[in-house]
Amino acid sequence: MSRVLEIAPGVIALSDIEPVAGRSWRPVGATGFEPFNKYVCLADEKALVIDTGPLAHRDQFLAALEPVIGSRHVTVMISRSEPDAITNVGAVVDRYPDLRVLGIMKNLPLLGLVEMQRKPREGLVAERMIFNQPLTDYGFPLITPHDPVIKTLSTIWIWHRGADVLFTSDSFSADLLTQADGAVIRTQPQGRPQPATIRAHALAKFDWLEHAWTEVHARAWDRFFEGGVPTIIAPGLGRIQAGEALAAQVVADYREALFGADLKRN
Amino acid sequence: MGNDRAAEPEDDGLSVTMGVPKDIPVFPRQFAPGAFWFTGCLRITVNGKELHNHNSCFLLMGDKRSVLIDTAPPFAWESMWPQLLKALDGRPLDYIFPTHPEAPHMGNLGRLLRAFPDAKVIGDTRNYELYVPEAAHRLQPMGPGEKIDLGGRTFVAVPAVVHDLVNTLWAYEEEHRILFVSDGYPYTHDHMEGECAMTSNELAQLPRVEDTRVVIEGALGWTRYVDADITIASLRDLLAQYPADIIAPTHGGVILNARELTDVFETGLRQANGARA
Repeated sequence: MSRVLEIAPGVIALSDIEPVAGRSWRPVGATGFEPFNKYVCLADEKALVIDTGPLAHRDQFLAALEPVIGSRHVTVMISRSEPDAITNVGAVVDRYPDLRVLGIMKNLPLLGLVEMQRKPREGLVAERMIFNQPLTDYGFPLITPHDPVIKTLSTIWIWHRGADVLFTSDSFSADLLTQADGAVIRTQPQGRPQPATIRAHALAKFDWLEHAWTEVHARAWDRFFEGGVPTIIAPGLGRIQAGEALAAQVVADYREALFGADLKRN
Repeated sequence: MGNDRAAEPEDDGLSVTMGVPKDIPVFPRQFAPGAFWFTGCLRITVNGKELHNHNSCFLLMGDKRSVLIDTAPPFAWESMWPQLLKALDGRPLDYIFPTHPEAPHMGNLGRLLRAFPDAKVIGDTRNYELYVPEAAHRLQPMGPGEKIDLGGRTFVAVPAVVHDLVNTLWAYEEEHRILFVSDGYPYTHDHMEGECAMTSNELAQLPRVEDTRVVIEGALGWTRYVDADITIASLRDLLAQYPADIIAPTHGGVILNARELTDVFETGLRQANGARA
């Protein structure tokens, strides 16, 4: 069963741990273990599932999900259109046929991108979320999808204003475990990845950054965080960063890694 | 099978027949000896206009072995599966080469591996034990430059100089100089019935720069932020090493007028720089 961790009141992480060595989105030589995180946000009668993991995690993910959700009505949303996020949407639809599905892709039908064992209920389609528009219709008025500063494919960041959690999909993912049974949630700054390490991980996933004009991204970054840094940074891959001071330090580290130490704030 | 008249390349690999063919071509389409094209076409609406978006895959048949390049997305399974069987004509599928792990390119991998229990997955397979865990023992990694002899034809994995996910590979077939470019050379076009299986030279109108926008601004959105000259230089280096008479994109029809469409693609990349904001 996936590890079940309450990272904030009503916000649950379901984590599966995999060895890092040889993953295509990690720098050559990277070692350790990588948490694959799915999240559930709970309201009285509603549950919002963020990402579903790759096929290798399907059974343990579903086993962990069931007691977390209980009898709540499910909405599943994906943070990016990669197999790590979307593959088990089909299994979730099979298990919770009355659910709603939220996608982000403009030109591809989310439910047509995954295998399903059973025919979904008549009329079920993936509804398209809109950036900056709270998920009020789904029972989560304090949760809002945002356009990420850095992305390759269709991707969203999701801000839970009530719990002060930022779900960052494949960004903020450089912090790994040295042992498979290590703590998925980091609360102390000591030993956190430094900007050079963060940059190596970022380039392993977003290789285009190496040659990119990033002043646009730096401006967007500063705009995004000008109102403050969330208390918890919750990536889809890598360790979760929890605590106001730690999260602020981590945002500063990533800014330096992505845009350089000398780049003035915009 | 399909319309071989217009699809068969000339010996010099440069001149092709232009214009709409008399007979409407259908899938599976043979576009070179032993090379077949299938697609899972999707009608999409962009700015109120209906466009047609290919999600293609390609079969190369050698004397000894066969390889499927990309798998089409799950929503296209019902249409691509009988096309694949027809092209295989009773032979097994030996290799599957998903250019990268994204649903339009590998979404039917699990089904194919179940259907062909001896088939191997080739390419950059580093993460695939997470995606097809039951077939982890059937992953056969290939890096750029590595070759497989299919019997009378050679399949080469080559660097994907234009890609979305970093673990993308393109492929090259040496004997007929076919370059399989995944998300490269994309073009959608105003949808017209009967155009689905047409090669680029058979369309009533040559694909235009604006037809490349859907994919360039979407999957290849990063091209806004990287000097197009860098990308184009990499593309030209690749084409010098692997000269292509036929280009097979996943999100566009098969290209027989490679030189002209290279100009269109390069112009699309340059225009993307202009969209930087």
